[in-house]
Amino acid sequence: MSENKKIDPVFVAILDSHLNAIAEEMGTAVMRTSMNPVFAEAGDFGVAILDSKLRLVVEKDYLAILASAVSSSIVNIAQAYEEDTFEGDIFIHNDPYAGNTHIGDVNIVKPVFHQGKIQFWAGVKGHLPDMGGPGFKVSCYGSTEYENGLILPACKLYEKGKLNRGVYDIIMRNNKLPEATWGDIMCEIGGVTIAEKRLQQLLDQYGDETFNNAIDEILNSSEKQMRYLIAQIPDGDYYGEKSVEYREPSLEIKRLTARVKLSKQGEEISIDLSDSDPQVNNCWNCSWAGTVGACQLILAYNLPGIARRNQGSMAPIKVFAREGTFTNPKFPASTLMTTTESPDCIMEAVVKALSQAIPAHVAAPHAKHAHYVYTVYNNRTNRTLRNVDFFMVCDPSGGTEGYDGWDMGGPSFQLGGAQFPDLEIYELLLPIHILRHEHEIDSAGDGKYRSGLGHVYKVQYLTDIVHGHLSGAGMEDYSVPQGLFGGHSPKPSTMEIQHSDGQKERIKVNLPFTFQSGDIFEFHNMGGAGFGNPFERDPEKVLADVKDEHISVSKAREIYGVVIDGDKLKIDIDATEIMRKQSKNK
Amino acid sequence: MPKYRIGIDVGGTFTDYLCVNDAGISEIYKVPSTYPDPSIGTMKGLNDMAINKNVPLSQFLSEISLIVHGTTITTNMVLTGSQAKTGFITVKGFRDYVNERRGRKRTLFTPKESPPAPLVPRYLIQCVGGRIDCEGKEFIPLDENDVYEAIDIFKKEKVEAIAVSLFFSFLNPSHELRVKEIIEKEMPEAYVCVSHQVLPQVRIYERASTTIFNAAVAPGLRLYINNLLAKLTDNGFCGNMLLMQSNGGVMSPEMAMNFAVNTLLSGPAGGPKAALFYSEAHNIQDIISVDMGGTSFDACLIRNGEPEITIENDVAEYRTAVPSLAIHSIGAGGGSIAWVDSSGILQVGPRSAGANPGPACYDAGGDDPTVSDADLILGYLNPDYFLGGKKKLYPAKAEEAIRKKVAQPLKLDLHHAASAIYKIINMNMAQGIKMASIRRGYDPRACALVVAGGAGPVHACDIAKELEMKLLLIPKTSSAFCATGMLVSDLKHDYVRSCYALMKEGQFDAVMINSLLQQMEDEGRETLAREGVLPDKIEISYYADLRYLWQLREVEVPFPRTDGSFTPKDIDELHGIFDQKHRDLYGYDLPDIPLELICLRAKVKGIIEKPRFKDTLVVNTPVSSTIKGHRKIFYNDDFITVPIHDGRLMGHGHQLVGPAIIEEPTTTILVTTGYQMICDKYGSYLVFAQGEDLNMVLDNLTQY
Repeated sequence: MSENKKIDPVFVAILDSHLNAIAEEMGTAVMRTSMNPVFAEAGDFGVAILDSKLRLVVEKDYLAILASAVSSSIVNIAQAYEEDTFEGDIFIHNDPYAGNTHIGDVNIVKPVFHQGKIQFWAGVKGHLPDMGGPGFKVSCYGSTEYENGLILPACKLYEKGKLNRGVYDIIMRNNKLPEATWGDIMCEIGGVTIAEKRLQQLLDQYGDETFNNAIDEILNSSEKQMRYLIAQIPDGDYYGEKSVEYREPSLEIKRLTARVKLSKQGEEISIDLSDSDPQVNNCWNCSWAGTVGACQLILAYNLPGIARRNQGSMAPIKVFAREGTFTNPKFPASTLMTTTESPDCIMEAVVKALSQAIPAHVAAPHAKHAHYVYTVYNNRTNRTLRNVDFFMVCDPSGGTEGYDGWDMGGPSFQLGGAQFPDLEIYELLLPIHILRHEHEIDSAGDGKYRSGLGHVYKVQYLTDIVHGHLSGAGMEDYSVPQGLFGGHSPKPSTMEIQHSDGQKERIKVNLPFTFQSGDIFEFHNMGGAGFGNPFERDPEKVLADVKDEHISVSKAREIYGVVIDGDKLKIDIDATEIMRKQSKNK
Repeated sequence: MPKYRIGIDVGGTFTDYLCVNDAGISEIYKVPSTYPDPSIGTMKGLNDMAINKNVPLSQFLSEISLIVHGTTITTNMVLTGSQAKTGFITVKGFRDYVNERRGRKRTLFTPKESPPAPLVPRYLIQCVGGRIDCEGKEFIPLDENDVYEAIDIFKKEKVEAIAVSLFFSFLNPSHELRVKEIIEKEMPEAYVCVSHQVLPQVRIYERASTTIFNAAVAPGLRLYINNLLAKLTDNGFCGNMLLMQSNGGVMSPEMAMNFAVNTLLSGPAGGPKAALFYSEAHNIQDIISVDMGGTSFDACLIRNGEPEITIENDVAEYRTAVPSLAIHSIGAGGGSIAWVDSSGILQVGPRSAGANPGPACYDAGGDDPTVSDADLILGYLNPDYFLGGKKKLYPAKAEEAIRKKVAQPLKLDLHHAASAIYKIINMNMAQGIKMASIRRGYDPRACALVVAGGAGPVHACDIAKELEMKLLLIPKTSSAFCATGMLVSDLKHDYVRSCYALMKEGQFDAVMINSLLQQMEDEGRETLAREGVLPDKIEISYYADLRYLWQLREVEVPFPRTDGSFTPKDIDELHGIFDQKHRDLYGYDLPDIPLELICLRAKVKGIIEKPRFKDTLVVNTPVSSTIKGHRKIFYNDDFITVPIHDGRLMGHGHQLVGPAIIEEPTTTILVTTGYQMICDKYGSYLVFAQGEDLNMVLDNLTQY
């Protein structure tokens, strides 16, 4: 290929659209056929395609933080089996210290051959129902990876199209839900098989060389695009930090702090997390893939424009962290929170640093999330199910100049890519009655642009025993997301259990938890953070919020300086003016 | 004596008519649509016909036996926010699930985006106590006080329509029925509909959203239909009127008024039926029907003579789950804007210059280069014969726009830049067809491509080439395409019953399954009888929504009933059908895993008598006599001079080889190098590869 060969701009655009369509089709196959509500109803997975030079060509985010770590896993697999990969091979892999997020997220990866040569790698990463580890009755959250489950370094589940019996048996023998797990591995295989078929058709049609030239061009263009976006940010060094709560093995609640030095020079950004807290003796460590993904995703969300996400666009973003911090832990530290609390904490620290640089673009942080992972036997359907309760994860986002936050869309590590389960499907699957799931009045982080609303979630368990683990953050004053430029922070989340004998109990996150039949769990999830001074919010918007019962009349008055007649639903314009003027003079 | 049948397609801008007399001779009419009361425009068109036939309106109307009416009125209401003020009653504690739309954002990587404005704002969503569990048992009784309180609020807010959706109402409708009863008594002026009657199937978000949609558009549709019927009967019409529905069938006005949500695709749903009609002359049953207009490109797959159906349909970003033709729509049309993104990659669409200001070449203030501008610069469009010469195009404006916004940034010359726009929009459309076919598990190579819409036939050859589709069929008069489809549609009603069963011998209740099938059949027969269909004109087919045990999403497949009822020995056949479909769709199957049945469906058709269209006479003039000039065009990186044929002079029997352009008053057909064209007995243009034999091409379509 000659150096100055002119690339056909038409073919570049065409290929770009093909690749996106294939990635989407992979995702559809997974989502439509999974046996696991975490995939099928909530979209807790991601897909990616790499080229023969192991460059990320396209990825499709369902759960953003998962998608961003498919490529690092594929790179690890491809390098480990450099000389030993054949057509028909399918790899399986979940090692957090070799490019993966955490043990529960399992990669299925297929090399795509064309005319005897590897041209692509297609991968799907999804959160499987079980990957071994301790029984359901104890906390599944150990302080080392050894306690968390079966670590699978890159290995072949299929070799030359034939099932590798040994690997299959090891996985199934160590699995508490072998049938459901195998079903989901199959749907990941479906995803990569579809990618293989479609990519081979395209290679037949266009030829390997044309194809690869066009990919070079897409990656170069995407890098240019990202450099252009980064160039909009004023040069300088910016600092941000964020703490969330975690528990020591003794169950004592402690603070874990991410510290970000973001430095922007020309068209490049570097993020250094080396001053973050040391790794912890529990599962709040973030595997390296998670740390890098967190930084890339939150930058992409807040930059003044949208760039493709591939190897090219990620090139101008460098992430560093000293080994031994919780953002770059040493094996065998446990990394189970890699797709939740740990990246979220890093992301808010990045937002804080960025807010100094691009106040007009940055969004106030998302709500902190909490979730319950549990295993339950359903008498009605005769089935044991392991579930992540995504109704708890319906977190709102923060406000930004010109826009209020969304009421739903999930926390920062989902960025609105996950979807929330259907209420009836949940009741059919699980032995529960969902008693309430709706917005809570006055739960938003207030501001000129307020956050989305927080939710109340109330669920009753109808079966004897439900074993699980409640994890999350945002129940301490320091861990709530912080408002920007005068915007307010929301109140911390709260949790309460009402036992069948009527006894009530306040609880906090990050504990193993067992519910008895009839127990009602009530969760008041926070709003996101507000943006700008609430006294500057358009009074008509405040009135609309009062009418919709998103904000109370008293809050409208006290926090927003808007005096509203609650019966007539009318703004008292004079009183509002006086209130707002007084506040300015203060 | 009744002698006319009329198809009327009320679109957003124009209302198109096809009038067929009992000798099979058809005429086309067109008038501007009139909003907010489209019945004015509808009547005007009928009046025009009467004037044209030199008879009084009353006499003309009395001679009409059938009017089939398709209308975008309901879609239009939602797009313009003129739907009824709607209240929504749902379960206490769940006020927000509909407006949260299950949470997913359109664009992940920006906070600068707002969700679509809700159809029902939160203050008009009221919650009532009472719960039914997942087995249909009541565990909290209905709190009627809550219902009365909700009604008070709705009265105060002057709500016109009320939707009700409660948990598991499809298993136990008692709470919904009681709420409906109270509303009808307390607020008889309001239109009310309940979810288990609109869509008795699981997934509350989809069911509720569909029910709300139904409530929001029903009052407006009722008013319109009653208005139109009154105007028609007052003026002497005593024939039958039917309405086109989203599923590709027609229904009586009474059904339409109760299930207004079924009319959301009432206009475009005529298209695939028309495609089938024009293809039948050649025995083609597998078709991809496409329609490229100013802003959108719609593709619909037709297999074995049946258009594909979907239950996941978003109209103006609101979800409806009633069975509708699976029309895959992408933002690609003559008005699609070409732009170079911040990475330097050329994009075309989805933003459109629409009709106003329109493409730069309209010289109406638009300065963005569009697909039509590219088509003009490339020489495919005639600046003096656009819309038959009714609209003048300005090549200088098109050139300026393309130079400035595409050629210069990409360092291309004018014609290569225009050609790039042409190629990319073609690729986008090919991608849209793939979505409608390959993504649904079908190979487009087995299908004929039927191309309608003014902008489509300029692009069709390249699209077909990209997809290796062997035959194109371009109806001569595409402007009344949908109206034609309406006249050849049958009555069609879809029924669904939620029915959970594990499809393993001894584990399911065949009696219950058969009784549900029977229930749907009875309901269908009853409805069709009311619509005047005789029993021997009724066709019923059964389907099931199935999944592998423990999966969470279903796939619809035909449901076998070998001996008139379903028995355990049908399971193997069912499993085989399902495995195959699963493999085609998702790349794998699990033949050892038992199937779960989630829903049973019946599609009940009442066959109506179709107008017989008269074949056109073979035209004896040589094809060269239709040439009205020559033009230089830029195609495939080269300038070539091609003959321009006057489509009005072309007819049955004419043939030509590409490159050539045929100019019809409503469209332009580009037959590219390597293709040939034959004009058939309906005046449709059949286009296929040069050197091939038409009969062979037709035979080969069935090889896949």
